Amino acid sequence: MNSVATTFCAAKPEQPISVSEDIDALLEELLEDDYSNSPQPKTEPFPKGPKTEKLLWSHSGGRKCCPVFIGGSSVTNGVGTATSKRSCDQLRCTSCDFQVLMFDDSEWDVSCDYLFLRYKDLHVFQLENPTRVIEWTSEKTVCVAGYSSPRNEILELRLPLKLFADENKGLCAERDFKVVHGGFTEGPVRHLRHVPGSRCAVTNDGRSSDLQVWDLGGDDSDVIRRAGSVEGRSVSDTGSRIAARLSAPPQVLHGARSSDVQLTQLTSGQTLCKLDTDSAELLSSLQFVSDSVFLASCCNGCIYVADTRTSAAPQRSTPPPRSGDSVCWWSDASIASQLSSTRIVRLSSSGDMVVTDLRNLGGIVSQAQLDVQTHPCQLEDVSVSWSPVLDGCIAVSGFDGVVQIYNTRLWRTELQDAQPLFQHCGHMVLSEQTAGSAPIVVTSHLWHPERPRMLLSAASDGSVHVWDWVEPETTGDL
Amino acid sequence: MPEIKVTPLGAGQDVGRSCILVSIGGKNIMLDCGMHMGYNDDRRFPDFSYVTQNGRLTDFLDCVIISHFHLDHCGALPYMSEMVGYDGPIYMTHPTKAICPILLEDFRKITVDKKGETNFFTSQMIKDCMKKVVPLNLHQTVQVDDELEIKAYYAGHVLGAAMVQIKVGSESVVYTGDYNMTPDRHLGAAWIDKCRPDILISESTYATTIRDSKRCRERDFLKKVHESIERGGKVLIPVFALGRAQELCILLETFWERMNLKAPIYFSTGLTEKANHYYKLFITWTNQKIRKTFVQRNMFEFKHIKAFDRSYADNPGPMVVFATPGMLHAGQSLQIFKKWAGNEKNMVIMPGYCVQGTIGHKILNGQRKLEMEGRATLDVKLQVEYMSFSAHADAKGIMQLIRMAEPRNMLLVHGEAAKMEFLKGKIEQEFSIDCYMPANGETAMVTTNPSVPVDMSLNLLKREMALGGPLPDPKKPRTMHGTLIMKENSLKLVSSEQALKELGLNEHQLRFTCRVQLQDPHSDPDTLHRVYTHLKSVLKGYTIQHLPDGTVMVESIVIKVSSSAEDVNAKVLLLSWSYQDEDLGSFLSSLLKKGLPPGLC
Repeated sequence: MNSVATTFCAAKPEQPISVSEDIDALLEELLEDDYSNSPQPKTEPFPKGPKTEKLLWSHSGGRKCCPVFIGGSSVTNGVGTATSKRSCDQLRCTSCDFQVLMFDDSEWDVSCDYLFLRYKDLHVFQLENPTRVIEWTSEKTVCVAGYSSPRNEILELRLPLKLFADENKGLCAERDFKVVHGGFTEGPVRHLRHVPGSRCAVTNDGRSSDLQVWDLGGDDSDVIRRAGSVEGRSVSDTGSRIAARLSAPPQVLHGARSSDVQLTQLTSGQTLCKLDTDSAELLSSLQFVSDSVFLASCCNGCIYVADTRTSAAPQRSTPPPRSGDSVCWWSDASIASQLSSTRIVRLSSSGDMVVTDLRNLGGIVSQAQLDVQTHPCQLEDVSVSWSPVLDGCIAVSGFDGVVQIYNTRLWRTELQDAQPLFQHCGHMVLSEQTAGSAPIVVTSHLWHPERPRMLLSAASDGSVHVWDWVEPETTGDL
Repeated sequence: MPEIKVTPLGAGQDVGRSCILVSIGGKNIMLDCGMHMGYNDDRRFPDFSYVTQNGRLTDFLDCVIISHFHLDHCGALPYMSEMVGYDGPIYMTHPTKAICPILLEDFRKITVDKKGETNFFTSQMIKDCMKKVVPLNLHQTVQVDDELEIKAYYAGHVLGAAMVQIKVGSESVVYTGDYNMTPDRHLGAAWIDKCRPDILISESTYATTIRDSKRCRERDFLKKVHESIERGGKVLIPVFALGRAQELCILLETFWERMNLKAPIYFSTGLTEKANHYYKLFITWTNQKIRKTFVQRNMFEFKHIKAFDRSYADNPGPMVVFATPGMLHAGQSLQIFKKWAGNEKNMVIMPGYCVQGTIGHKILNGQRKLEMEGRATLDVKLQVEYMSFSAHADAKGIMQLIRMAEPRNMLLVHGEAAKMEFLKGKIEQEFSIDCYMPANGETAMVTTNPSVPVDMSLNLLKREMALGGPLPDPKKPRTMHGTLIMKENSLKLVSSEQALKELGLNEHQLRFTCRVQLQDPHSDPDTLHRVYTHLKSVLKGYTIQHLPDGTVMVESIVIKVSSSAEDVNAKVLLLSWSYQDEDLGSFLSSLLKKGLPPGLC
């Protein structure tokens, strides 16, 4: 709680803390139907509060904490030293110099979304049905699709124009999603890829390896139509992973297991190349890292690197060490920038995260143990992705109801515990679901390709949030 | 087959000047009579010449129903009733009846007094028009005449907004007007029972929109106001007198109380004050929470919000002012705007839509230099914020309402239809009903299948039961004979004898006779016998009798033989049958025309 307060003070110095907090408390009160019996605020525990030792230099009092510990009121307060770990009781805001207040045995009310403070923009939407996929189809539009009923919708949504209005933002009142195109699918949609440079999307239902091809429609119509299908090579009950690259005519790389990965031309259905391997490991993702090089990541943690131009055997990396107790691994490759070559991150179901370099898949660049719930309810919900802009930043979701952002540049080659740089808890906090129903799980997240801190995330209750968070100025960077 | 016809004169694939004609069971109803705020030529009002080229509308319309007081739903009312001519009843809810004339008068002032337009309705016309209004209560069934009845349901959206069910016999149509399926700060959510109308006419303003949460919206509003007050600026909120203004007042009032803020909040005199008064009066039309807390504290009894005086605008220090009109085209809001525009610390928050040509529209388009009357220019330095708080049902809300009412057909108006093919498909697939989106002047026709109740006499029923087995099998149609009598407003089915008796008529029998010529070299009785044998062999299963009086009877058909005087061999068969035996009779005649087979003895 205190660390959030400090985070806030650093981020939004011009407002005393009470202001915005009160707005939300007020909104909340007004939202409640009956406040006649509300002297006692609900104090459900805030489920994923940053629990932390974040290091900060205190400037107050005669003695100074060294190092500084920040903790809840359950921890003894006082001056902290290396031997007696006490949480600092003399915190002051680094910007306004106001003292940070503490309240014993109090927690943020779940409904009190003080988290609003940490966002430049936050838009909260409710879809009729939850989505597992969010995919950019153009600069301002994304595609989402349902998975929960026998018949589902696939929608192309235009993001709120207010987000993109740089000058005169105040003049833009348009803060809603607009359904620009929509269509109906016969089954659930578990995976969806937009083929860059086309108006074409490819989906998979998670039950077979077959793919469905969709025409997203042009300006003259608002209907998304089924344009064909691609038959998969294997009988699979986990569904195909799909990757696409800029190509004309459109092509997609797809497969359910490492043995049946193939590149197929959508119009002709012709197989252009196949991954040459005998092992049939389940795939967790497929991804192009350049025009012709792609990665096939397997659930057991190993990764195949292959080139569509040659038929040579792919390079195979072994799973990271300590993978024995992990059920599953997910991975993502960063886009090579000037600062670094392509990095690959692998995340295990037990919260191990390992960063390696594409050129040396055996070696470890850095690693950490994440602060996540290590028994995810739905393995298929987990996703990990590199920020396309912020160097070394990674977003992780799917373990529970939050999206976490980690900065891997702070990590070293030895294993350590990692604290998130930022957590988006909005899906849990703002959910209208009543107690007793299944806990909310973030089903998908997506970085904006250019705006450094803008993400979209979707959760199992059908909520979709678009958020642009404010980077805390002091993050305890050592 | 009976049909229901729906023709939008306004709001067909369009937003503004809602006006929809419905023709149901021989009745013609006009739903809403709005004006288009974006035009000041002919396109402003609906084209009533569609109803009649010349003459008054009274002869063609059974009633007019107004859904709520927004001018795009009632703005053309005085024009229609007083200038075109309509003397029939105009139905609207109590709050609409109270507020509608204020808004019409306000609008008339702006158009005639400020803009100097002529050929517009006068104050007297508004008064005369309102005299024709019949107020409606929620869920009260009103008989317009013997056959036509209407019933209002709560629609949210604005105070007094209603959805109406129009019913003639077993046919019905529901018109939603504008509605909102989620409760807001001062109003509840729309509700309707499972009335299964033949057509549900729904607005679709936000049909392709997924709304950002109300919470994020409100938070941004409070934050903006607070920021400006903190730096000592003045905040102007030009509002349309009713609706959002009250919602924002409640929001700010509570915020001020909570934050213990001292900066004064004013609203412009007259209109809004009066409007707040109406809200207090019609507390039953607000949402549950306001109603529940009403006894302890009336939400519209504001503590921090006071009436504005024009001299206050020059007071130093921060303040918030709600002023009308909402588009900064005239009046108090424009005066205050002119005073405050030069200071960048100040702020104007536009909570709604602005028509082209108004100052509001110009500043929302980023214009920073405004030309005022007398060649003066005004530099706009203050901060301009645009926020939309309008409350309409989105796609989810429309689907919810369909689920509630279970209509047999769907018709969408008040939305841009060009991009609603997906929604149409969605409705058609999910509910297996047809969805129409007629343009202005286009007619959507829906065939209905109304059930017509008929009373059957007990005697007839007993007789039929005796004939065809015990109880009627509901799954099998059975032919029966009887006479249908339409008397007054009822239908009844009786036996023909009873019908004759009741109506005092004599029974007539209709018989067909026909002559068939045959060449047959036998005596007349022999020929008859040959006919008898022939028929006996052809018509198996029929009663055929050779009677001693020289006739052959097939069922009730009589056949006689006579020979002509000139030619003994030329025989003439005389056939005679009653109307009931037409089928058999005509068969026999054509059979006998073919002649008798030679081998008969």
